[in-house]
Amino acid sequence: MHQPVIVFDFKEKRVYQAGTGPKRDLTRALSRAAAAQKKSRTTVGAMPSPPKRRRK
Amino acid sequence: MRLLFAVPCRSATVGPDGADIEGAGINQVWVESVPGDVSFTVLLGLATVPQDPEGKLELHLLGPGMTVLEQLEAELAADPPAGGASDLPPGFEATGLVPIVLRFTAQDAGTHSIEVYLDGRHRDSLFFVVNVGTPD
Repeated sequence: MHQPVIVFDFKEKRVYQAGTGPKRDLTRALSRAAAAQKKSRTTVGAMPSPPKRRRK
Repeated sequence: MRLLFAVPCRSATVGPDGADIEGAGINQVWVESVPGDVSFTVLLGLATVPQDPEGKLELHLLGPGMTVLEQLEAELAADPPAGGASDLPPGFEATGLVPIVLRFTAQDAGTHSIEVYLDGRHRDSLFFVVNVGTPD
């Protein structure tokens, strides 16, 4: 199985993937995602712990 | 179709020899202010049997309080084995790597998640925290 990249654009409420629309739409979606990534930063850090399960 | 793994990362490039991943395991997103645009990638590892090469991938974006903010879906189709379905030994599955680029506007800071569904069944939860400011 080899799949090209798929863009889940929740802002546009659309999915872009090769073969399901004009290629330029996917290219533009990737450009918008790259622009959004430049505006934000991602790191690794502390997470809230999940609620503890009660023993029965 | 079966989910083998889902790895949040900054970017992933898939080639014939595997995926090159940058920033694997990220779980914090920093924006200057909210609402703020966010984008990162989730690399999916998938497996299929030749008899069932198609699947529906559904992603739900959950915000603070675990409310569903958005949900989108895509049809996935595995490439047939080079020599046809009979190319795979009995009991073997075809596997593949699919980079999913996500883009959304974070309306609030706090814990979010991406819920991964395959063929209508929940397969994974990817939690991350949206922070306002800079990590330094």
